[in-house]
Amino acid sequence: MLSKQLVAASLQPIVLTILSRGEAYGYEIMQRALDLSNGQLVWTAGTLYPLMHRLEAKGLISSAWHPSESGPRRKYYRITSKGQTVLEADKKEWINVHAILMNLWGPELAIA
Amino acid sequence: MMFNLETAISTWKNALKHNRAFLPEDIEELEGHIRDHVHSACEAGLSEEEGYRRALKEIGDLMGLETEYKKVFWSKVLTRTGAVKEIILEVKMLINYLKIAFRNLLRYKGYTSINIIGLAAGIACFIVIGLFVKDELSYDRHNEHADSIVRVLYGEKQIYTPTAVAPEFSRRFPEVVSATRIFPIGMFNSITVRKDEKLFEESGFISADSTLFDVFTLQIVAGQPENALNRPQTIAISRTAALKYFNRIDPIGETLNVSGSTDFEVTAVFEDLPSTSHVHFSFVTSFVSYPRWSEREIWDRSNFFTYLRLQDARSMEPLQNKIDAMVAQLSASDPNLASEQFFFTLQRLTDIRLKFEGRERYVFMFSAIGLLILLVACANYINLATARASRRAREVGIRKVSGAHRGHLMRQFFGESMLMVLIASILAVVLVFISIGPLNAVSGKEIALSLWNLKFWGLIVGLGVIMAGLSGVYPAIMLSSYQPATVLKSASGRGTGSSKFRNVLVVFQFVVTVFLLVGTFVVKGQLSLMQDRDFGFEKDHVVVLSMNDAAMRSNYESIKSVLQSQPYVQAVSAIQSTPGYQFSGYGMETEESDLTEQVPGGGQLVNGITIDDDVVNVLGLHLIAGSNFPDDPSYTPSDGQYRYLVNEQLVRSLNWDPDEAVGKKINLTSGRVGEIFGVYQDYHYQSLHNEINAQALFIDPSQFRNLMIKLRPDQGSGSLTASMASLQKIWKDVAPQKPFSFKFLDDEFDALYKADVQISEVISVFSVLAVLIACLGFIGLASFTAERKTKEIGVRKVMGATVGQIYLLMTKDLVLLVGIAFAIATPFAWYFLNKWLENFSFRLELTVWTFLTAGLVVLLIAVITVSYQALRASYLDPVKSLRYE
Repeated sequence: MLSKQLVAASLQPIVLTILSRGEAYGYEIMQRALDLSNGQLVWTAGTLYPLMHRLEAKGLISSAWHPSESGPRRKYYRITSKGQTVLEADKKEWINVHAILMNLWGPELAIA
Repeated sequence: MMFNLETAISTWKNALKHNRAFLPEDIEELEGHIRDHVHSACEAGLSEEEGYRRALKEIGDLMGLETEYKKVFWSKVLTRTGAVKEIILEVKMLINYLKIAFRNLLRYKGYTSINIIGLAAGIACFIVIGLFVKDELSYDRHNEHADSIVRVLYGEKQIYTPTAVAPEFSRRFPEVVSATRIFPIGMFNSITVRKDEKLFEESGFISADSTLFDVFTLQIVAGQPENALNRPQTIAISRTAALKYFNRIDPIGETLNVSGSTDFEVTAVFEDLPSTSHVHFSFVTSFVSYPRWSEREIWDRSNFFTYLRLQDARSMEPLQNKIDAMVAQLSASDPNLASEQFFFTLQRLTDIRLKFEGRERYVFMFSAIGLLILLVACANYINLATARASRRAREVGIRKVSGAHRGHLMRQFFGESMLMVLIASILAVVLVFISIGPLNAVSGKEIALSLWNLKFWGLIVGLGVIMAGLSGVYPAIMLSSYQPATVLKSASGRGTGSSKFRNVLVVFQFVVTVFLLVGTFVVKGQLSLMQDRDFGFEKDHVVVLSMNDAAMRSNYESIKSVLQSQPYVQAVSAIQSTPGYQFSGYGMETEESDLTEQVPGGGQLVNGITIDDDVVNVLGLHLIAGSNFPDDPSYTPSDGQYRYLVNEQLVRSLNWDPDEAVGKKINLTSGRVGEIFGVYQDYHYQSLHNEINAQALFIDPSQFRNLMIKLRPDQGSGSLTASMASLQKIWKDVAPQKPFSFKFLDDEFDALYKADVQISEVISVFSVLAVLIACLGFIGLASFTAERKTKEIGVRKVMGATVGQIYLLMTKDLVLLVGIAFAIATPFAWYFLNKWLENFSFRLELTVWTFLTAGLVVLLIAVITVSYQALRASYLDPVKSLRYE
């Protein structure tokens, strides 16, 4: 399990990355994150949905209701071009941080 | 019971439906989330019920969810179409609060009116007092250089300075930018001013150096201020004076006749001085018109006010040091000047009214009263609002159960306070506008109020916010804190008691009431002490007319005999200045010192006034030794032949016996050697603020300025008008050059206490108002207490309690509170009033009775206000009060 702060900090880039590969609805995003991280990224609806709404209010993603094959309609989220730009910036920041830590620790320590 | 997913989900949805943190589509999204969760759980082989439970667990508790959703609520709403709807909702809520507030105001009319009247009166008092204080603080501030203008005092207190001060200081000290001398010609004896048929006695008459306009800021209406007063026989007049004599505001080049002798040319017209100027004048003659003063720079006679304008406010200290050094030098070079009294003190212009004239303590007094009134009004509101809490408790309970948050309730109750204060403020403004006229009349001020004064409205709004804050916060916190379970359970809907805090407030109100009452008693007592005191002379039925005129002085004896022959005249005399206004001072030598000493300034300082031989009769002075002057109309004084009457204090200061004094010789500087004819009992020749010092009266017709006519007091009603008409007729014959403008001696003397009387009136008015406001609160509080105790009283009556016992039960707490308040208020009042009384030379003794009376009055007021409610409660039929139990 990752720490709370790290989860919170990584939420935005992870969500944006998942959406950059195609539109998805809330539960789907959560499951993908869980799968990708081998069960390490545990989000709750209480953190995910408000975040989605905030990103939408900022204009990084957009949403639309589509009917589902089973049961009621679902709210799908899709990344906007502004979201793409922010994602690129986020990516650079994370890689930078990663690179700094790698330099500090050296290859052996990083692996160990 | 079988688990049904649909039922479970719809129950869950219902819980969220009315929660405004969630928009409808948020709930739909969350529902989908749960369904997906359950679906995948089922696929993994779990039951629907287990899946649902896991889904809920993952979503987390509702509170956490709500908190998270709330954070994004507004940003979400604003980017969507829901924004308008949400705002409408908020406004609707606000309207609902207002509606409830208004309903509550209307439903409890008694409560509402008590509160609004109390608050309005409190706010109105505070505003009026604020205006008074502002008026006092703005004295002399109209001068552009107010901060760098100083007045020179001779010694520490004497406002009259020698002619040499202004020219010498401005030549010698670079700090002095400009200096002006003012001779207050008309201050004690009015001056006759004439323009053709227009003939008036003027008292706002001064003479000043041409630099007057440079030191003080006078708005010029016409003429050139720079050279208005640099020639002899020129005069600058106020706008009002210009209109009065010339019917126009620019009579430049016209002339005014002064004292029936000299014509002065009008060279400038200035705007009337504001009422907030410590010195008032409408006529300024040029100082160079009087070569006797202007051409001689002397140090040893003090008749002039000296004002200096300095480079800046900070130059005063260094200048004072330089002046001290100069005085030391002067004293060393001229032994005649050297004296303990020969030094000069600089005084800031802005200190004159507040410090020198002692208004600072009144400003403090007024501010304190204003603040106290405001706090009493706030205490009233808090008391009533919390006492009423029992009635609102159930409303609070219902609102909370229906989903209202504490914040909502606080907003609601605070809103009610705001509404109350708003209504009260509007009422207060109306009250202020209505009362400012009468209050100006009582206080002698000229406070003008304009509806368009932004500062005024700013003050009102600020005050309203402060009042609402002071009085609204505590009830809002208290009322919103009720737990629904507690307040809804009990049938009576009684709120939790906060009577302790309420008692503290009530004690506070009583303390203020006792304090203000004692203050009012003492101020009033001191004044009546001053007014009822034996002044040592008879001031009734004496008409005073100005005879400050050379022709009148030379004809005095014949005028006197004409007047004396009138049947309504008892006695006629001439005097330099009337009692209350006798200021001229002399140095005195006696036989024991050196009678022939010709150097002025030596010897003992005495007050000296010239009179004729009938003053003793007119003023009814009591001679305790010797006799009055002999009737000798042909007598004129000459050195060695002066005739004196002296007061007891003078005799005492020389360690003489009154009888021993008669026949002794004294010399008033200089060259006035003469014999003491009689000794009279001390009378108050100046205001009662001043002590009685040594005084000598002597005959010198050349200095007569006032004619005093004592009328026969034993005439029928209406005769005064006839006498005055007759006097006027005679006056036209004997003094056609003088207007017949008379004064009465008692009015003139009483005018000395006008400021004190006005202040005491104003203090009384506000004290009574404060007491009334506090009473309003007691009435309201008593009615609520009675209401809450209705059942207790019913039970007690059933158990056999008498009306008397119940009455006692209702009032004993109050008596205790008054007692506590009395104990707290007494030392404060004692301290402050003693401080105030120190300003009077004849002062009221503070006795225990003053305080006990105030305490008893407050107790009486409290008991009377509570009695009605208490009696009503004790007479109530238990059958009725216990009906619902």
